[in-house]
Amino acid sequence: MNNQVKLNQRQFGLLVMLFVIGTSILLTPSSATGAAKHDGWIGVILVLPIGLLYLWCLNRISSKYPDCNLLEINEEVFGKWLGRFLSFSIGFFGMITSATVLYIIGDFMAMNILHSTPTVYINMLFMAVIITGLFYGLETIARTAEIFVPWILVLLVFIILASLPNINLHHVRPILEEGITPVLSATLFELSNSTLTLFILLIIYPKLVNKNSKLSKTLFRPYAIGIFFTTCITFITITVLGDTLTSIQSVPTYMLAKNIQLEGMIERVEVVLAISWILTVFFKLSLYFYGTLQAFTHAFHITNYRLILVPMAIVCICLSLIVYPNVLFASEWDSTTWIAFSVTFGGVYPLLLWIVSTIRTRLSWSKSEETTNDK
Amino acid sequence: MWLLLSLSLITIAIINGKHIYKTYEKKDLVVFSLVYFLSTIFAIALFLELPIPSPLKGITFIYQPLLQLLSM
Repeated sequence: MNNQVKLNQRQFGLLVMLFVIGTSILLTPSSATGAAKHDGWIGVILVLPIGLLYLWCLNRISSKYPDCNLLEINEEVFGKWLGRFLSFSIGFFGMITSATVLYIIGDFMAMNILHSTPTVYINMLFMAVIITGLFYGLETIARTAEIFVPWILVLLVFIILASLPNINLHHVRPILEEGITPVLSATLFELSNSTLTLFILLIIYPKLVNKNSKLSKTLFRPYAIGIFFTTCITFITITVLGDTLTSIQSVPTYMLAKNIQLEGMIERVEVVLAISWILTVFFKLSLYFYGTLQAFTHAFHITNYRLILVPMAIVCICLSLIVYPNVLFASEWDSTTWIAFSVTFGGVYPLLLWIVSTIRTRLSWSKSEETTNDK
Repeated sequence: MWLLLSLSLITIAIINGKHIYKTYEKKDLVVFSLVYFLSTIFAIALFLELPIPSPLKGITFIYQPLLQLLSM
């Protein structure tokens, strides 16, 4: 049933773009300015070259095994048991990440839009949509992305254009005032948030996508567009609100949208931003959750991921209620352990995969008899 | 509240289980029931307000030596 799924290149590109925009459009300005003050936007733009290099490396790994997804590569490279264990850890990583994303959306809705609704019910409703989407399959989600991407982009561009009159360039004026080090920490933060988690898309990428066009169109261009939007939003948030106000807000972009006033006619458009954000988070969470389900399915050799969809969703909702005991813990986790956690899975693990697979191919080359057995 | 929780959990289980019973093999139904049972236990434990620690705390504990090494 899984093998029939095929996305085309355009759909996959849109998914990559939405994955990058995802949560970062609302949260990056705050974290970037927290680390680098008014130079935060430089930190975000520096992510682009590093991310493109990272994507190229990921593609090198996956192009060695064009007919496998990440989890099957795992089993082929590391052997049966270690491979399964690694798949299980990827599932664990995906579960934690989906729970945090679900917490973020629930918290945002409860704080800003639905004030007196308990967070549990918002999380349950949001998860219900994702269960429905994943029950119909990945193709359905990709087609939904095709429908919604114009809306998301138009709304974002509208927010950016409408904020232009409020821009005050004094807020960013002494560029690189405190040197490059805080900027690099902002880069690391944004990298861990939007780029290093992209490895989870390797579960979809080489196997389930039709191969008929160039790499740049599938991976690089959507990624660049996503980072471009994040940079734009960060820059505008800093120039409109100033770095102090941006760094103390939990969702500064929402605050930015509240400030929009065009000739007394267009006011209170913050929900426009909220709509586009909810849509992007839907796709990001679906992809994370799909990755999680596939990882667990591979680790325990379950026939189809739909079997564990609903129970795992219940676990995810429960986890989203307890992952962050308080806001202080959340901010500390985001700035310390989360970076190390995502570097382990997004950076060290693919590197390990690459090294081990290279060694294995070399070994099988030298023993030319076993080449047929190994592959 | 107990009634609501148990009713909703049972309803979800029946609807989903029926679908799986029709579409998949018997073995898959066993797998589903097992995972569903475990997740239900988790949900009920949370509902009883048992002190379940956040998994992030465990991860922080594991990474603590590394982070201290890096910050020094």
